[in-house]
Amino acid sequence: MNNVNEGSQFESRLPDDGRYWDDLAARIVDSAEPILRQHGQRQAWWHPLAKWSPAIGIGAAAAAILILVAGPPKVAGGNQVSFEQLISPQEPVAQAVVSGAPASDISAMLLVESGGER
Amino acid sequence: MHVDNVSDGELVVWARRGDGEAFGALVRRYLRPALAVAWEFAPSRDGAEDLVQDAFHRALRALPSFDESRPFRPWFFTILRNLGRNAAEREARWSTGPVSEGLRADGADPEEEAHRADVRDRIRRGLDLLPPMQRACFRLCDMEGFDGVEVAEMLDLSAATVRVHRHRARAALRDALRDLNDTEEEEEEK
Repeated sequence: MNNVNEGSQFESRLPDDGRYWDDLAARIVDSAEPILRQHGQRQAWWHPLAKWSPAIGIGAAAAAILILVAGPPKVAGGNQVSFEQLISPQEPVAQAVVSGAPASDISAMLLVESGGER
Repeated sequence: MHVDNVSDGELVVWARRGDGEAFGALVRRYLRPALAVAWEFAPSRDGAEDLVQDAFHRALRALPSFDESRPFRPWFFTILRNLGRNAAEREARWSTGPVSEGLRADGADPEEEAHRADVRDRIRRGLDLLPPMQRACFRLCDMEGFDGVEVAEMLDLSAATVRVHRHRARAALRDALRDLNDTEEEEEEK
């Protein structure tokens, strides 16, 4: 029987010449020069920062903790700004709603309607 | 820098920083299997070289978003295969390739050489008739000498599937040669 076996009729169609592979590799690398340069430039500006990234990270975390511990800012006159004022939008109606006199609770309204008796 | 013993992951990190030597090392490491795979999609060696070059450039462009803890090889071959498929679709056909380039012609005896030429021709025609994946698995394993596991990774198949494709390709080629065998036996009987 004729062979369809290893190596008897077949050999690689890929070139054996080492220089061919060197030339092809050089062609691919040379033509990639603009992409490599682009990567190099991108690297250039953030690389110095990346070297300090642990220190920058620790500093940022410490600053965040300090802000939280220090609490809300105080008014120059010594009066503490209320929490409601801090979270309310900076416009008069919203301020009035949030920091105005509290609304009557429902039990008080029921007592008024029934003449104050249970 | 001695790049031969450096892992793919390290070369990827250096190449994405614009290191041409690291990129060159990656290219040299995968050039041969890449050309073998590309040739399955391209009608000529020149076309295959262009595909390989395009695949390496695309991989290099995409390196900044590539996770270097993942293996480079399957990622690269996925890029190459996708490019190859697109190119083949553009060509509107799969390459049958000049298979005879891969068949030996070293017989000294003219009669023996004529016989071999006949065998080569039948194998070439047999290969042309094979489904693309069977042909690719047979060529890459039996003609280019790549390991079955390696071919599985190059073509994104399981090793078992590569074995099945090779087995079917061999069976088909055996059938293509059977007629030749029968003719020879008849001549010997006479």
